[in-house]
Amino acid sequence: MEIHQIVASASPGDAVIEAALELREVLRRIAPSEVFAHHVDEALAGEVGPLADYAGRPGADRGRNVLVYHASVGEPAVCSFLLEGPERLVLVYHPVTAADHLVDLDPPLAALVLDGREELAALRPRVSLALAGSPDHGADLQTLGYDDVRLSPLPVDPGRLGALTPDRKVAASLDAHLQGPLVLAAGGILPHRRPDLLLSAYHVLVTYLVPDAYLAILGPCPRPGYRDVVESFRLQLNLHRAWLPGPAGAAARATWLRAAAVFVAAGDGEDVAASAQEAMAFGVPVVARAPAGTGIGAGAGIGIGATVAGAGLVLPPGDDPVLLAEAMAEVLGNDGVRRSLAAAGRRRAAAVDPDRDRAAFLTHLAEVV
Amino acid sequence: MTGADDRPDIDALVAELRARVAARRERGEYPGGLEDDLDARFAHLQRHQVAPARPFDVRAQVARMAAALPLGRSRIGLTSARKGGAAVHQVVARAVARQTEGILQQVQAFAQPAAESIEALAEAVDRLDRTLREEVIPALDAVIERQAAAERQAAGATGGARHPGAGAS
Repeated sequence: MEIHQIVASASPGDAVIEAALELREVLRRIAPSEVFAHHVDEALAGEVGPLADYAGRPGADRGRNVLVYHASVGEPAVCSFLLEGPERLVLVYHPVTAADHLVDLDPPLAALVLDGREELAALRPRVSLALAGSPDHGADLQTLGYDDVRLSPLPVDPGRLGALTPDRKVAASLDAHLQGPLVLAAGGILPHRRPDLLLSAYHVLVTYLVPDAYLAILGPCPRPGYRDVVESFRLQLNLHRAWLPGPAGAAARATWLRAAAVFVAAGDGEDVAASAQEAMAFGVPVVARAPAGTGIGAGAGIGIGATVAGAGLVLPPGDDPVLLAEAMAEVLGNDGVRRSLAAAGRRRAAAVDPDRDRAAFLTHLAEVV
Repeated sequence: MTGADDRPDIDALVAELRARVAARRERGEYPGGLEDDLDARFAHLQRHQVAPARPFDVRAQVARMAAALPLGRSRIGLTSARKGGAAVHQVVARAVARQTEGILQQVQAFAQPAAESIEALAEAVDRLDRTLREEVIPALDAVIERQAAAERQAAGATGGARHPGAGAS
């Protein structure tokens, strides 16, 4: 028997794929374990196998393996593969955000979210075990017909980046170009991560409040057209100290975080929440905009609001770049606020226990293995 | 803004920030319609799917030029598609080697310093461009935006005095 994980898409810096790779190490203590994806970014070619390669694994033809499927947005090819296979199936639910929240911001993603929900409903009879990272997500899964949902937060170890050697290329670039306080953001150039709001807030920050500040938005830019629009906005506002460096692996993120004066989250999602946790572990104060009230992750879940609440400066929901800029300026300019937020963040990060979450995952998995 | 145990009082801080934004707006430090203007700009770019113009890549061209140097006889091809042609080329090359070498040396004597000058110029232009883009233009932008805000505020105050009914309309 082997235990493999399936994801729709694998790109560096993605919270789901990073969690899957971390779980792989845990699973390998029990059985041979790999991660397969329908779309694999070439940067992860050695780490994650294409879905088609699964057929070559021992036991695949006899259906003796266990598959752990990280479900997020819809992907018909993955859904068909899972529906047609005989393996025992474990579902780990990673909702992006509520589709109604995305309809205006990102219609294609909203459609994928809706497709994903239909696929989840279709997969229900095949699923032996359903896991959710938070009670909110569990409740959402129940609305799709999953009666028995177990709570199993993804084992995120925000402190592990601290031990990594700095990424030379990023360090050299920062040495050469960074000459002021760095505002760091993560989550990529996707509409629901609100790079437009970040750039607008940064425009207000450098125009009216802190002229020498820099901004870097880390993360993938999977849609070239949207990236072009964001880049045009950046150029039109003459924000030449705002950088869009693309996806960042663990060592690169650690290097960015060591240079950062404040971490800012304008959007929501597991990626952003995981990045905020990493920032808190590094003692970087976090400023976050609370997600809209109707969205998944707005409550006690593992979205940005729940991750940062009480340990970071969480602004009310709304598209107010001026308030966001004022919050950044306050953290950059007020030593007391900065120290207090950094200390609160460190305490929050220290309370995260990945071993406990790994153990919870294995305990649940033992029921179907 | 910290409470017991050095915990940040987030609600108080958010309230303070909101009050500060309101005060700055009141004083005209933030121009009216700032957020709407930014929203409209982005929406326009998104509606028309605007892509940024790609700048001319000077460095790539300079690298191509550097790769063409040094000039030398060894870089002159002696192959031929015709039977025996390569042998003829080799004979001719040997026959005119002295003259070819002389020409190459003269051209190299010109090309080497010319290439170094162009590289230095490209570096200087690049540095100047970076300084302009990253320091001068943003600073000018900030000054212009602030001045515009101040002028709008001043015009509003003066206009209000001259045309008392303007606000009501």
